[in-house]
Amino acid sequence: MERMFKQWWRSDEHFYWMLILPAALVFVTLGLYPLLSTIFLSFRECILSQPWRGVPYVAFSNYSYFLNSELFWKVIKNTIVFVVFSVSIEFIVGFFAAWLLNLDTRGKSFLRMAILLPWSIPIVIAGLCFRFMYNDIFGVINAMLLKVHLLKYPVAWIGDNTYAMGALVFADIWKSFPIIAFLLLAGLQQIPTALYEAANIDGASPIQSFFFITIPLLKRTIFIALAFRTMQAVSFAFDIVYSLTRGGPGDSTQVLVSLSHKYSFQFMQFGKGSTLAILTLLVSFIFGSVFIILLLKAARQ
Amino acid sequence: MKHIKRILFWILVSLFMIYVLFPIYWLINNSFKTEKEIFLFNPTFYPHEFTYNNYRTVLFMRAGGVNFMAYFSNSLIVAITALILSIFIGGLAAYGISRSKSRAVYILPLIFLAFSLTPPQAYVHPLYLMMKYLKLLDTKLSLIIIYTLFSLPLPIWFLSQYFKGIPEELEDAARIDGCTRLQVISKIVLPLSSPGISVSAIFVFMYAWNEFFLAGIFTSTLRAMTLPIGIMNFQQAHSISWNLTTAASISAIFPLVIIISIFQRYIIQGLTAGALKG
Repeated sequence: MERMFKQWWRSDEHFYWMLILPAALVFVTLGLYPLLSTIFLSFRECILSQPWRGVPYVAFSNYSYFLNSELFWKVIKNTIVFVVFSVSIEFIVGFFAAWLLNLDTRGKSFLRMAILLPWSIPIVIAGLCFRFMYNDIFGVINAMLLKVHLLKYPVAWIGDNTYAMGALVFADIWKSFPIIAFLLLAGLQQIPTALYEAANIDGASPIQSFFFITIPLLKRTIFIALAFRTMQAVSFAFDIVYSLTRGGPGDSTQVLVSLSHKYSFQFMQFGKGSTLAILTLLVSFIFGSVFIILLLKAARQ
Repeated sequence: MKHIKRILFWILVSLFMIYVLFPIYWLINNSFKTEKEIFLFNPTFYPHEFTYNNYRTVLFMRAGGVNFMAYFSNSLIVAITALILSIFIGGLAAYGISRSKSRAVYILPLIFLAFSLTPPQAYVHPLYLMMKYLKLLDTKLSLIIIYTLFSLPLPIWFLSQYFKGIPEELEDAARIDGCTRLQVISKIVLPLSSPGISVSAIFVFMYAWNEFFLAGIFTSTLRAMTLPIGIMNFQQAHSISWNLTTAASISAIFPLVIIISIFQRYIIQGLTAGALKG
């Protein structure tokens, strides 16, 4: 027995497997098992505040409860609006930032530091900061807009149905554009400068070389960055929503993850919360797979 | 013409810098104002009546279950322990992954990456029930366990790429000279990959320091509450004391700013390197 073990142990491959084992165990017990049991819970009724009811199997009734509710479709719409607008504007701002970081300008390390800042701070602090700036009575955004006469009277940015989603998107752009900037910077650094020099000699304008060199060579990175950010925006929107608007006013900024949190940890309905979590997972995979398909298509060309 | 272009460029850059830095500046600015000055209809762009009192009040506050020192130490303990565990477990796995010739192992980093993009809501319900069953709710240990799990993809993804860059011949040479396999790791691989390890350690630390959703679920009292939750609860309870909330926020950000200003070059290299191999 001992000899068998020693022999098994002597193989390098087995040694490497042993190194992977702890991580795999953590992942299986605390990742895979909870994921499977969330799926299991989503088919059950589990109300923590009423433990005497147990966890009866209810088949698809949690799912049909949401698919037939108006709130759920509103929340889906909010999630899509939030993801599409924040990621696409983040992409533009992030592209600009990546371009700046890739230039050899003066004050480069200051630039780098400045762009790292929004990325590094807790999302809730960013949310609270914007909550403070959006305030309708003493907020700085209203004061500035009033001063330059863009507004006639103060607006309650996060207290008003019409503006709340825009305010949320604006705050999220500030917090999350750096990550897209860094992903794109990685791609930009890969493009050999000789290509631009050659294009310049051939008489191409900077705009032409942007569209005929940068974009085609960056395609792969762009799709990766978009896949990454859209999935993140679906899955991790909770912090910014909770700290800024708490889903309000009147569910106008409620997204899937915050609704799931509301069902699970305010109403203590773990079954319905799990259902929403699984639906969020699906939505995030749909968003991600769009860009992964585009990526694979681009790779095949 | 060239001059005008240059000026336009710098105007554009300055506007962008104002956009990026303004919210942080606004926190700093208001953290030094008096309560009276906060509520002016025309907010002041620098504190006319400069005061440190907000920081003193916040850092030594012991009223109504608010204790920022306790949040601070909880955050520190949780983040550092999770960092050590995550780097240790993840680093070993990353080394195994980078050296293994097996096909099945090859896709492991991708599985971990996909895991890190899924919503934590998809894991949190059973984890909550588990922690409740183990009577670990509202303890630092529960947060440490959970942060170790959720931050594990970072070192695995990042370090497995990093270790692949270390030539295997070096290790073979050391083995021939009589090193054991563990000695190879501690004497060859570790020293060579210390930049990679420190960057992933910084990422894990920042994750644990900033995390909000899970901390809000698994902690409820001073025993384990971390800074983001503490600040959020404080703001909810004292929704008009923005001078104190901003001072607390700046105190919470401060360690992060120190870290990124020291390691900014490595952090950016880390962020871009991680993306490249994807």
